[in-house]
Amino acid sequence: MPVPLLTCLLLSGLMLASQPLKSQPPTGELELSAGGFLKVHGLVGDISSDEHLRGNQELWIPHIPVEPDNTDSSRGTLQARNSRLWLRARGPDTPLGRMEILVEGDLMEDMTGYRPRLRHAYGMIGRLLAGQTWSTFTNTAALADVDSGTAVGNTVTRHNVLRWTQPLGERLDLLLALEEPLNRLHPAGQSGFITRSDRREEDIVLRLNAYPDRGNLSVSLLRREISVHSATASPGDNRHGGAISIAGRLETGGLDNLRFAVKYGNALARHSTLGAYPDAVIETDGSLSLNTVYSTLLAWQHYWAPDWRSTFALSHSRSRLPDSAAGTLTRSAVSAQANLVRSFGDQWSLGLEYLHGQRHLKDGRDGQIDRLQLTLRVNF
Amino acid sequence: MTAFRRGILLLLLAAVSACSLDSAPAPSTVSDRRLHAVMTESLDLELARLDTLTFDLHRTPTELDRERARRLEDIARAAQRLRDSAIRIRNLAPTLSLGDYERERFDLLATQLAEQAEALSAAAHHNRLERLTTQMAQIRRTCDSCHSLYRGP
Repeated sequence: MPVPLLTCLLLSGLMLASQPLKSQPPTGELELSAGGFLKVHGLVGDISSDEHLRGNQELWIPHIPVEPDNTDSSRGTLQARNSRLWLRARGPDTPLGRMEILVEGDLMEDMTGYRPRLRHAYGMIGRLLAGQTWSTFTNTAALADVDSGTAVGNTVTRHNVLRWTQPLGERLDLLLALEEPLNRLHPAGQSGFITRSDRREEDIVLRLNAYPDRGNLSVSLLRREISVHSATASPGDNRHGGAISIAGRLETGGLDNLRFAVKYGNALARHSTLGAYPDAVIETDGSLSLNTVYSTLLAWQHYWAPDWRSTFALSHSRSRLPDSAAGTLTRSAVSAQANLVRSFGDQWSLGLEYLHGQRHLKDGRDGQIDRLQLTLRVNF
Repeated sequence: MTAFRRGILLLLLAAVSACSLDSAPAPSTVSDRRLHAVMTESLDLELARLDTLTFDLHRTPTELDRERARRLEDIARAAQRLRDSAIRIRNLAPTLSLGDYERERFDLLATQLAEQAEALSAAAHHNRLERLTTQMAQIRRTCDSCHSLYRGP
C-alpha cells in the first residue's frame, strides 16, 4: 500500500477515534475578523544592478550578486510590499470541533508593483487543517525576528498541507502531515533548476512539539520522494530522502529568548536557504544524485525595556553539491542580522536593522551584501 | 526495590516537595510575605510576555491564538497561587502584634488581594484580555497599600 494512502487512512482513523461523530447540529455563532499591518521598508546598501530582483528588497540568497554582477552601495529602496492583511471566520462548533477559515496575503507577488500574493489560505475543523500554510517542518516559534527578509537557517516554506494535530498531553502535540511534493532539480551541465510537483508521492512530515514552561521545542522528521520522469530513452529515477529538524525557543530570563534550529538531510534543500540549493542533480544518464544540506540558526532576542528590543541572529547553511553540479550553484551561505526596535503601544513600531549576507559558489566565487534598513510597522 | 534505591526515591520526593509552590507552607512567616511579592512580579512578567505576541512576525493568527491561550492558562494558575498565598498571609494575622483596628485592616487588605487574584485568574481563564491589565493594576495597588502600612523598613 503506498505510503501516502496509508498516511491518509491513519489521519482519518485518528480523527474519527478522537472525536466520534454525533447527531448534533453545529452550535455557536460565526465570528468574522480581520487584521494585519502596514509595513514600510527603507533600505540602503548593496543592491544589484537588476533593480527588479527580490533580493534587492530583502535577503534572498540566490540574488546576492557575485562578479561580474555589479552592486551600487549608494542606492536605496523604499517599499511597502511586506504589508499584510488577513481575514478569518471562526465557528460554529461542529461534532468534529470548531471550524476556522483564514486567508492572509501581502503584496510580494512581484517587485515592480504592488500585486497581491497569497500567504495562507486554509480551513480547519477541530484538529484537521487543509490548505496553504507553513510547512509542518517549520517551527514558527523558532524563526528569528528579523525584518530584512529571513535568516538563512529559517525554514519559511508555505505550500499545500493536510495536517492532523494530536495532543499527547497538556504540553505535548504530535503533528502528522501530507504536503505538496515540489522537487527542484538541477540538470548536470546546465544552469538553473527544473521545478516539478506532479506524479510524486506527497511529502510526509512528523513533528513532536513540546511546550515546557520556559519555551517551545520541536523535533521534525521529513520524508520526500525526489524523482525525475523522462520522456526520452533515459529511464528516469526515483529516490526517497529525508531530513530532521530540531528547533525551538527558550526563555533566558525576563522577556529575553533564544531561538535555534539545526537541520540536516538529503531531502532538506526545498526547506533551506530560501531555495538556493537543488534537491538533486539529474546526471547525464538520467539518474539522480541527492543533495545533502545542513543549516543552523541562532538568534537571541533581548529586551532592553518592555518597549525596546533587539534581535541578534547568526545563521549558516551548506550543501554537498554533487561533482556534476554547475559551478554557478550556491554551495554555502551565511547571514547575520542585528536590529533595534522601539514599540509604541500595541500598534506602532519603528526598527533599524543591519544585514550581512554571504554566498559562496561551487566554482569558488563569493558574494556578499551589507545593508541598513529602517522599518515602520503599524498594526490594525 | 533495594534499600539504596528506596532511599534515593525518598530523597527525590523530598526535593520535589520542597520545590513545589503548592506544598503546605513552612512555619516561617517571612517566606510567605516574600513569596507573594515574587508571584506578583511573575504575573507582571507573564502579562508582558503576552504583549510581545502583538508584534510577532511569523506565526499565523491561529498559532498566536493558541500561544495566547497557553500563556493565559499560565497566568490563571499563577493568579490562583497568588490567591492561595494571600489567604495564608491573612491567616498569619493572629501571630502578628496588631491592634484591633490594625488587625481588621490587615484582614481586609489580605482578603482584597485574594479576591483580586481570583478575579485575575477568572479573566485569564475566560480569555478576557481586556481585563487583565486592570486587574493587575488593582493587585499592585493593594500590595502597595499593605506594604505602606505593615511592612517595616
